[in-house]
Amino acid sequence: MDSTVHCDHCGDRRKDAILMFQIVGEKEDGASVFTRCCGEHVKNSLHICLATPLTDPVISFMRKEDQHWIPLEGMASVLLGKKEVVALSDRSRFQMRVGVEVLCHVCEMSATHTEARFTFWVFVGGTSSGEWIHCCGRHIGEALGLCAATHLKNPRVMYMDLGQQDARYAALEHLNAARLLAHCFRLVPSTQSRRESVSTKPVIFIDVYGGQDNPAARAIEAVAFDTRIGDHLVAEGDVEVDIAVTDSVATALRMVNETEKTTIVLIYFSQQEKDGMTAFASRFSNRVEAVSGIGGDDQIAFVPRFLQLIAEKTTGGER
Amino acid sequence: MIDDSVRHRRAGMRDLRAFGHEVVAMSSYGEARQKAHGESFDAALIDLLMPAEPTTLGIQAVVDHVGRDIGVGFPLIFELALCGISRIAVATDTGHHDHPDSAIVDWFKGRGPLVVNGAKVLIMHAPMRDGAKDWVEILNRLLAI
Repeated sequence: MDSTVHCDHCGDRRKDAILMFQIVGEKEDGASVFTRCCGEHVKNSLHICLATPLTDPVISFMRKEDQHWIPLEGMASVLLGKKEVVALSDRSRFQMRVGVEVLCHVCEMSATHTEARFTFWVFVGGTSSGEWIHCCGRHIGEALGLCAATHLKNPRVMYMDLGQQDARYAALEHLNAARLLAHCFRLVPSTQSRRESVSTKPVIFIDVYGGQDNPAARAIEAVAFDTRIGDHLVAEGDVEVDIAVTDSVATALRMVNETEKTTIVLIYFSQQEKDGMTAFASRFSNRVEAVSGIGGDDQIAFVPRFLQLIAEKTTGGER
Repeated sequence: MIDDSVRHRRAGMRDLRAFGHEVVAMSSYGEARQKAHGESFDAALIDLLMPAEPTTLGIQAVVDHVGRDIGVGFPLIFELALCGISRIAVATDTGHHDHPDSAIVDWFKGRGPLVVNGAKVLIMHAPMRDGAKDWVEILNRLLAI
């Protein structure tokens, strides 16, 4: 097979591409190959995939030297065999020494960075063969997408702050990839054309403690599919963002005071915060929602609710 | 101008600026306090009821109070007067049947001008125009005392 593949996004025909991706799935018209990507636009490809009623979409990749498409699960096998990756069998007891090399399954092939410079590493679920997808934190969206497009067992997203001594993986239950996939497919309107979906993208404003260095902020951005991240709560001309996300009651109160229509998502990461945030949200029940960033069956989990809000804002035609 | 309502702030900014005033609008009393300590103002126009802020509150107090409307306009009078602002008006659009602090505003109806630390103070139910506080009228009444 010729390794030159036309990228649907950049239009590039890249013979020198180290890695090409394609998303395959059945559409209503029976077409099988849906989109191909040179590897630079995997996230965009996933957005398109998620916004389309594909049956059993699978992402495959092709390395230059292989010259044939390999399903993602195969990719995981290949990569796992190349370097030592710490197995994650019990997330509650798992610990990892600072500096241990973890292979990022998304960027490893592009070789743009290999150093563990980032404080956010994410494990995105186990594949059907029991493997894990790892990400250095720069490509969480892609990693989630890859995860979502594959058949996973009990997927979990976890992160580790490598800046801490005796760093430990912590679960980000709210980034449960299985839920993510289910909600994306259910909530993104299948009748919407790509052009329409771009024109009604909701605008999201994220203000969490620590700013963009906070792993949670990156994670929230990563799952904000089909949105635009705004720099300001209220832009010039008194234009408010559609959804604002924060982990602070004080910030949520400021958001309530400074906007009229913005839906404010107040995310809590501990039981200690839960009561105060829930009580606060109840006082602004039409504006503020308190959701759990730590999971639990009795609580409203962040990602499903967040995606639902995005879908509501997208289809509502408010913009 | 300190008011937690977007509608009232926007109306005030628009109307007061139309009359040539320079306006700084704030949405919370914490921010207002900070601003008043760092800058000088000729007059302060304050909402009476604003949602309680977390500040130093403990966990249970956050559950019980944060976000509830409190009559913070009253203590703000003292704070802003101590900051050297010479004219201060507190104006609420909440009816005296609807909140105890708004009912207290009735105490000051028809009374002579108040003076706090040298600042002339007006406490009133806000005149309204087009569904928003008429800040121009409020300022005019404040300047007239």
